Amino acid sequence: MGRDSAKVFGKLLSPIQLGDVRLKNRIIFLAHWTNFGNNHGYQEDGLASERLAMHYIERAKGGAGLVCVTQSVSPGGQMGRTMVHAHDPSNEKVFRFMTEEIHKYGGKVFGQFNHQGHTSCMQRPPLKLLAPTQMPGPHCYVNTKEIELDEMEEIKEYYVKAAVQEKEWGFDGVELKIAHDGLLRTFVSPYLNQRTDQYGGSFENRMRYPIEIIQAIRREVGEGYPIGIRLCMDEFTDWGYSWDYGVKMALALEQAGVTYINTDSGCFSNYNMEIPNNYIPMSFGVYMAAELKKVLHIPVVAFGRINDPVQAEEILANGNADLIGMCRQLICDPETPNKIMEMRVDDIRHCMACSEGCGLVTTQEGVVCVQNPAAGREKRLGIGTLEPAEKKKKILVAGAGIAGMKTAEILAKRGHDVQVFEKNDEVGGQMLLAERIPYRAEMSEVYRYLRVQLQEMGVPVFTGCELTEEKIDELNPDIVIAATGSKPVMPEIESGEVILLNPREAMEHVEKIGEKVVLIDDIGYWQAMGVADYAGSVGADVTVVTKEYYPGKDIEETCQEILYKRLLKNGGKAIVKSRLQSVSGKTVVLEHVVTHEESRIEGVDTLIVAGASRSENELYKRIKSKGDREVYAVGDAAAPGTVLRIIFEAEELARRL
Amino acid sequence: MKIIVCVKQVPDTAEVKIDPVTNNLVREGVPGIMNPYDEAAVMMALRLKEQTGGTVSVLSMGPEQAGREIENALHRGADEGYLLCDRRLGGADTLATGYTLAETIRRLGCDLVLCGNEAVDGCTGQVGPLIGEFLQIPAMTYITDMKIEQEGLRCYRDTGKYVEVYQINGPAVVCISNKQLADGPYDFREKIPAVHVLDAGHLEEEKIGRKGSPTRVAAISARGREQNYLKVDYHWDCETRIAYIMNGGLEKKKKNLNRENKTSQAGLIMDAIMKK
Repeated sequence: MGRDSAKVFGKLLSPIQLGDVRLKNRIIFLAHWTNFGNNHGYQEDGLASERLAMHYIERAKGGAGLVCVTQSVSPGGQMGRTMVHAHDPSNEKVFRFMTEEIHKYGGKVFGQFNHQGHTSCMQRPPLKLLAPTQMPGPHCYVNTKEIELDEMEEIKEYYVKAAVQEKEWGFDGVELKIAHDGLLRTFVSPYLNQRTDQYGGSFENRMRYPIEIIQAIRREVGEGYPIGIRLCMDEFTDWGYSWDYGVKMALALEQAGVTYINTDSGCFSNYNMEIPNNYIPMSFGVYMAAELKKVLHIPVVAFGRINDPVQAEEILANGNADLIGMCRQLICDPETPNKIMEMRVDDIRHCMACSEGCGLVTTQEGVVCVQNPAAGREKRLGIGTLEPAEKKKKILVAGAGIAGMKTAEILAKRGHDVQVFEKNDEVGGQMLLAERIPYRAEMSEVYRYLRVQLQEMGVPVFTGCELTEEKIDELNPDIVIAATGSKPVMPEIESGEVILLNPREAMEHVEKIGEKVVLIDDIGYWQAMGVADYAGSVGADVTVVTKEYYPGKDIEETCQEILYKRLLKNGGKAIVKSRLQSVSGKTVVLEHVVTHEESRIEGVDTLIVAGASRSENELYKRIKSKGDREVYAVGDAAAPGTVLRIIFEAEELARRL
Repeated sequence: MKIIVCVKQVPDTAEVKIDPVTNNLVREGVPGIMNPYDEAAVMMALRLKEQTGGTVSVLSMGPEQAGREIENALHRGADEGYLLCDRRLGGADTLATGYTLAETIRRLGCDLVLCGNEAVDGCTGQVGPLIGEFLQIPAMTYITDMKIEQEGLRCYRDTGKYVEVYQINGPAVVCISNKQLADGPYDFREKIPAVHVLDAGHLEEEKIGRKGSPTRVAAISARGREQNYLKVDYHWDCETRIAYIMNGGLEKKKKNLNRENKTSQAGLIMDAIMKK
């Protein structure tokens, strides 16, 4: 385009001062739970690891101005055994390495400290949950211990100790979390803090403990050392506070001498606003930062599904915030800031907020990413690890679904001569249907990114053109990649007068979705609840049937909740612990899996069965059986699966050839 | 390739006067110029003609003096000019104008229609897309550049920070937004053909002029810049706040005050009463 990034993204790429620290740009890699710490057993856990360090270094390498590293303080304040302890001196070596590396790339690094309070670790053995007032979560049923003054004093000392020692190790600042989880928010929350001593009862009293900690740290680290706050502006619960209270807190914190406010929302009682999925619009939280900008003098960070430089620049240029917080976007594409600087905006791989990879942290798993196989595997797959092919080979890829395109992308990046053949008129495979599910249009980013990569490298993609054996013999490649996808398997039942559809047919032929729809969820994934939502939103009366205790069992939990709500709000319902038995006339007969009782749904127009798919691997098998050519099956053609697995598998395969 | 360019004569002044009674533009006594975006479209058409051959026709609707702008285009190298000039066409809004131009274009026949992206007097940007609608062909707006490639015509659409590239093969309406093209060089032709003047005879009477114009400008006022983010009212209860965020503020929701939350207005009033 020939345009200068410093002009187009002038604000976003400009430096900013936080206390004594100057950031090279306005992009912050927000702190987040990674589960990358080492766990060698109770009290020998929370140890910084190389994997953890590499995860953060990668984002500095990618150009982020600031990287925030999530850590817990005090031995009893962990969220999981793999959350790194800030106060533990044994983390010195790894952290010194990490801060040095981050500084090499011109980035700065802050430690984000949190005592997890009532959201502490529930793994075995569970931790005692500390809270200002004894009451369960309310996100869980486990009751808390009312924290005593000497315990508060001890935790405060851990905060100070951590800040002082990390300053020594090369960290550039601290950020305290008064955000969606942890002890400090329970102190400031009028609902969760019902104390009657000097730490509860009034606004000043509720703010007292966090401010005491800030002042204690300030005394030790000196004036110019940045102390920021990640502040929950709105708890988004029936019982919680709204953003007006957030503004009031921010003013008090500014008064107490904090360096910046990093906005945040939601809590464990409302995951949807804490880890906003694709049902929540992009940059939904800007109003909270904008309200703070009206009254505060210190810098304000905007948050909430900001994944694009144009969007980020607008937010800054309009004066709604001073910095942009990106978490999942930089997990998905750590090179986002560098690509912005180089004006390669089309090359940015946008986070689509699916939370299917990074959201796994809540199950104590390490962060991964659906689109970025290198997330959590930075050392092996990260920036600069792609080796050019030893020998340039001619490779034909059959199928331009996600598996085929991803394989082709990596093969071409390594210098192979690649051609892609797609029998349909459009590339994208099943994502072309997945993106039609209400609110899921962003899923198209998976193939948009890959299509742009192939285009830019000049990889020919022939659409409406099936790769046949004759064509393979004619073109005589070294390798054939069969990314030929899968077909849904349907039960062999008499469907009577009911229209029987698989989920793909339902998404393709809206006209076949009748007034009354029964959907059998035998897969637990989007093919069931996503299609049910589609049918419901075009006006059908939908009943979802599952053998499990609830439908959509394997869907990411925030989406799962929304899909269930949408099902019910559209007038649909779910029948659990039941399976499809038979169809006669317009009646669908179900059987309870435990009691074997029969139940009937009358007047059904359409029956959608969302079950397993079977690999379409004829081409692969035929070439393999001939034995004269190297051939690989990848993606659904190997085994039907989710994008998370398929992209990883495609990357691994393409790196090997 | 036969190209038709639609041009409009606009008042040559920044100080446009508005009739306080009808809320319409006062055109009397203000010298006219060719709308700069249309001028750019003319230059673009001439450039395409230079590369591919074919003809460029210029079409305008307006009073007799609007013929001047057509002559202007002919001097630059356009091949023929048509002026729709009929009392019955007076008072047309964008809908009636779109219909009038589209029907005339249909009669004249062409492979490509070029328009200015908008006129500097009305700034609606609706006429080009309406022509496309009436002719049932694609219309593209905010086009800054066009290039002839082997596969077809490339159109570059500037959305502010990105440039989208489209390729067209069939007939289409292309609305040019790059005013700078208007200043491009051209050879002034002394001898030009006469402008064909058309009346409204080929048009349906109830679709043209004032009769065919449902638009009424109700009022005009100056206002400051609008806030560019969704603002959520903290008084609303949690469910309302989230629903408002999720639907992008587009639907009006029942805005419940939360009586239990002490930070709501009702809660504050309750607190004040209790203290007394």
